[in-house]
Amino acid sequence: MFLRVESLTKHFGGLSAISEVNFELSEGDMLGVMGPNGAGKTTLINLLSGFLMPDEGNIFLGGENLVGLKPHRIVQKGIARTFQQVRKFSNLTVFENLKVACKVEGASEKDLFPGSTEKRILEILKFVNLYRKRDVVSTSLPFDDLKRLEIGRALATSPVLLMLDEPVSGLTLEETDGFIDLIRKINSYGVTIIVIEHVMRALMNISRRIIVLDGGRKISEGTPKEVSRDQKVIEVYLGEMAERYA
Amino acid sequence: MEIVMASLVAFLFLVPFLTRDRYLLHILILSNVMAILAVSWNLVAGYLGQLNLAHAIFYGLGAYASGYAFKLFRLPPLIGIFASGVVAIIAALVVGIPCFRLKGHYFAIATLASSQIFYAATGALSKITGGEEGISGIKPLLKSLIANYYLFLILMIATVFTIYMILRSRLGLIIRSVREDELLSEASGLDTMKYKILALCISAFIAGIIGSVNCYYQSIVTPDTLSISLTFGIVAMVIVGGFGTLVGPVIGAYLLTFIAEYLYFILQFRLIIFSLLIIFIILFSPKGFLDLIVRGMESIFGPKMEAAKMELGEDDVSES
Repeated sequence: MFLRVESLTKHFGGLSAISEVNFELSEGDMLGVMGPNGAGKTTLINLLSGFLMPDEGNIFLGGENLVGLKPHRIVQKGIARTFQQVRKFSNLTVFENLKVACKVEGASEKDLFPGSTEKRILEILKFVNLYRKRDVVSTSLPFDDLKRLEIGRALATSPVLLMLDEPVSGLTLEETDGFIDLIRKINSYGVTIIVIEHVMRALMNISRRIIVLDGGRKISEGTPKEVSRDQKVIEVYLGEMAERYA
Repeated sequence: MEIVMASLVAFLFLVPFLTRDRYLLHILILSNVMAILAVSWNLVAGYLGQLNLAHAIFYGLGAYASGYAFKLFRLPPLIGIFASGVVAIIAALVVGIPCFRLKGHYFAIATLASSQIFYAATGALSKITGGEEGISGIKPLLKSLIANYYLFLILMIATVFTIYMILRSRLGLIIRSVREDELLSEASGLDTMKYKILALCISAFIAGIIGSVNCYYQSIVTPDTLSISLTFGIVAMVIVGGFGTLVGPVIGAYLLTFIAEYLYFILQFRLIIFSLLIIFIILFSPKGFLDLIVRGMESIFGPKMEAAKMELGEDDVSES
């Protein structure tokens, strides 16, 4: 199994943010994570990316336990992430934003964008449709370009697993469609993807499998159709929306 | 603007031909010492975004290392200078590794406390450090004042050039990225702790070297070289000159060193003038005196100055 998460648990004081969460991912899979606010979705990404240390449980990537590794070491192992609130190196250009993330020591040899640093960056910028804005200082980019920049920066680290935290939130319908295509395209190159999203249209379209969290616990897992028919999921999250995806 | 800077440097090279005023040459040497300290401090504070208040430690320990190299071991100056750089790097590791575990104001306070520990140690270990008297009678590296003047001027230019080259490199990009967003740098696969310590070591190495060379020039090293007031002086110079700019700290160092020396006759009043100048700069030109000059020239020469602004601002080191 490519990624195996075992009994992952994280408490903040008396609050149980993630409790006994288990799931597995095969290489090239596309997993959606959904649940109401406060369900523990972002905490799950923070745990997988090393920004939080679990109280209990294990995270195996290709057989190696990642628990205890610092975030940069996890990136070097091939796990990249984006953030719910878009983060950027504000005073650096688009090109420089990606250059910071390039040349990660120990990056995957099966690189999506092979070649010299400069060539790689330019290829990634073409891929995420920011090539023309490569010399623009990132703080002056519009919102959807910032989202593309985040994905570009994550791709520059040569990930084998990419975790996207609400990649289409705040985007227009048209922009969302563009992002769905982009995420599918990244996945088609063999990059395994975990995506958290509240925009159901996007999540149901992208994901092959979905896990549903509520109160830090996994309450359902299956294909988009299966989870949208699950009574527990309908009760805590989907409500009337369930009919659209069932 | 490049022409202006080149003209100023050329003028500084010509000063010994224009005047034989030994006091003026001495003040210019001190200005260069402070400029080197300000530029090296600015690498960590201005570009890396970490308010290090322990810079005097590296300078002072560098000076003491050379003092010992001469007094105890009679080592040649070049070895003494190299040893000072190494001692400063060791001090940077001792201070940096624990302090960089803290963020923001906590980091600043921890480095301030470290600085005080080292300063207090010079008094507590007076049998080794020479106490208030320090170590004196150190044989000068160069005897002639003019030769010393050129040595310090070249060292200052070399320091600015070194920092410029670092900032243009990938290391420079990483340093700036850590200042922009440390968490995002980690998420980009960078060991930010490693790079923060590396930047501090480079900064400390430069301070240690200049502490050493100045020790040979002054023939004496005293506990004042480790004093927190020296660090605050450097901070003031960088704020006045231009925080996070390459040339600003040099301008701030020259300006404040001259004010301090030439207003010596009014004793404590010069501190008031110092403080008023800093308040004026913070209020009317928060980017420093350099920005004030550039804006002034912009109003005279118009849009041609746009390019110059870029050259002297934070973007002056972007790789093309």
